[in-house]
Amino acid sequence: MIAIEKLTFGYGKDTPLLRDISAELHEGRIYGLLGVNGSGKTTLLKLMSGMLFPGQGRITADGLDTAARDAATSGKIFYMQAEFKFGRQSLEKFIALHRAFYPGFSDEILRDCLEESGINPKTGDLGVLSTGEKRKFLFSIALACGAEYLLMDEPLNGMDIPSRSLFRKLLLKHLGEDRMALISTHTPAEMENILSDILILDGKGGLFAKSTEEISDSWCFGLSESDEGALYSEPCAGGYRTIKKRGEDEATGIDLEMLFNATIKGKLL
Amino acid sequence: MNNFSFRRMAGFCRLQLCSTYFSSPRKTVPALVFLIVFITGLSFLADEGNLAGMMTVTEDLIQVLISFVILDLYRDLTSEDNAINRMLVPASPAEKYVALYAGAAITSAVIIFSAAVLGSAIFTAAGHFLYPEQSDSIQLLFFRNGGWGWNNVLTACLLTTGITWFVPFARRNMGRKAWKICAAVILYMAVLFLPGILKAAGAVPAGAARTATICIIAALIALNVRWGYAMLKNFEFDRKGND
Repeated sequence: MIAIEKLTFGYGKDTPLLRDISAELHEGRIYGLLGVNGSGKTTLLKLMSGMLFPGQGRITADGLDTAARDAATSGKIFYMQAEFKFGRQSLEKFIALHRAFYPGFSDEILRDCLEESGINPKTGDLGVLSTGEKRKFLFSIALACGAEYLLMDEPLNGMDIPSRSLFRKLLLKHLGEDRMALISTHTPAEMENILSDILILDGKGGLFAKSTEEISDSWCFGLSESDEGALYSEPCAGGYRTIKKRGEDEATGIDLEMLFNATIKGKLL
Repeated sequence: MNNFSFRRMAGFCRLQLCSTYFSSPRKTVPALVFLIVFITGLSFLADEGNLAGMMTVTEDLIQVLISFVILDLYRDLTSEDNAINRMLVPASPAEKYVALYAGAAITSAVIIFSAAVLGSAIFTAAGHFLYPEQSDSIQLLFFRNGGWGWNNVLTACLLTTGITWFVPFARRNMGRKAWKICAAVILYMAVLFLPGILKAAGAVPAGAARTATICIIAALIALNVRWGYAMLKNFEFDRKGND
C-alpha cells in the first residue's frame, strides 16, 4: 500500500500546491488522478516516486519512506513520465541493461505486450520509434518489470485510438491483484471503465479520493429538466446535467467530467 | 534488501556507461581518436619546439578532459529525460554514487590508455622526424617519469570529487543566491592555496607548505566525497514546469 500522510508541498513561499492531503492507495486497484493544469498531478507523482521531498508529512510504500530512495523501495515503484527520451540503443540492449534491477521481471509479459503493440523486439534503435510506440514500449516495461506500484503520467498522450484501447486491455490483463496503477490523465472518459478509484486535485491544495463504489453509493448522475435539488448542475440541451444525492434504488453510472467539475468547484466536499 | 550490493553497483555502472559512451562504439571510437589528435595538435601550437613541454601540455589537457567525464556522467545520473530515470532505477544512492566514480575511473582509464598509445605514437613520430635533436627514442605519454605523478593523481581526484558536490550546489543556488556559489569557490580556493600563500609570504618553509598542501588536498577530497553523497541523497527533480 502507498500511504500519503498529511502531505503538504509547495514550490516556494506562496500558497502550498498540496495542503495536508492524505490517502491510501491499495494493491489490486486502478486509480485515476485528475486535476486542472497546475494543480499538482505531476508533482504528486514525483513525490510518490521519491523524486521530490514533502514539505510536511510523508509518503510510504509498504511502510518504507519513498524519499529514502533505497533499492527496496525504488524496486516497488515504476514511474512513467509524461516526457522522456530513449537514447540510440537497441530494444534488446535496453532491456538487458535494466532487467537486472527488477527481480520480478517477466519476459512473458514483455513478449505479450510487444506482440500486442506491434513493436519489433529486434528494434535496433529505440530513438526512431514514434511517440506512441515509445509510450507503448515503456508501458510494456512498466507491466513486465514486476513493480507493485505503477505511477503513470499522461500515458495516453501520443497514442492513437486503437493503442488507447490496447492500453486498457493490457493493463487489466497484466496488473493483477497484487499491483496498483495510478494514472494521471486529462481525458478521464477514456479511462472511466477501468478505474476503480478517483483522485481529484481540486487546485486549491485539496484532494478528493473516493472509490467508484463510494461515488455510486453517494451520488447519482443524470439529466433533468430542472436543477432543483441538485448538488451541482450544468445546463445542456433539453435541461441540466445534474449530480444529486443518491436516494434508494437510484444507481447510475459515474459521469467523470461532471464529478470533476463539481469537485473543483467545491460542490461535493 | 542490502543498502549496498556490489553487483547492483556494477550493474548500474554498466547501465550508465553502456547508455552513454559505449552505446555506439562506431561513433565513440572516432570521437575519442579525434579528441586525442586535436589535443595533441593543440599542444604543438602551445609549446612549439619543446617536445617535453608539448607532452606535458597534452597530459594536462587530457586531465581536463577526464574531469569532464564525471560531469557528463553526473548529468546523465540526474537527468529527467531518460525513459527510466537513473535516479529511479532500483539501486541505493550509495550504489549509484560509487558507480559514478567507477564509471568515471573506467572511462578515464580508457582515455588515458588511448592517449598513451595514440599520443605516444604521434610524439614518437614527431621526435623522430621533426625534433631529432631532442629525442629519437619512443616517447610515452603519462609514463615518461615512471608513471603519472602523485600530484596529477591528487589533482584529478580533487577535480573529480569536487564536481559531484559543486554542480548540484551551483544548480541549487543559481540566480538570487549566486553569491553563495562565489563565496564557496573563494573559501575553497583560499583553503587550498593557503600553504602556498604562506610560503610566498615567507611564513612557512617550502617543505612544510608542500606537506600542508597534500594534507589539505586529502582532507578536501574526503569532504568532497561526503558532500557529493549528501547532495546526491538530497537531489530532487526540477521543481519547475510540473503540472
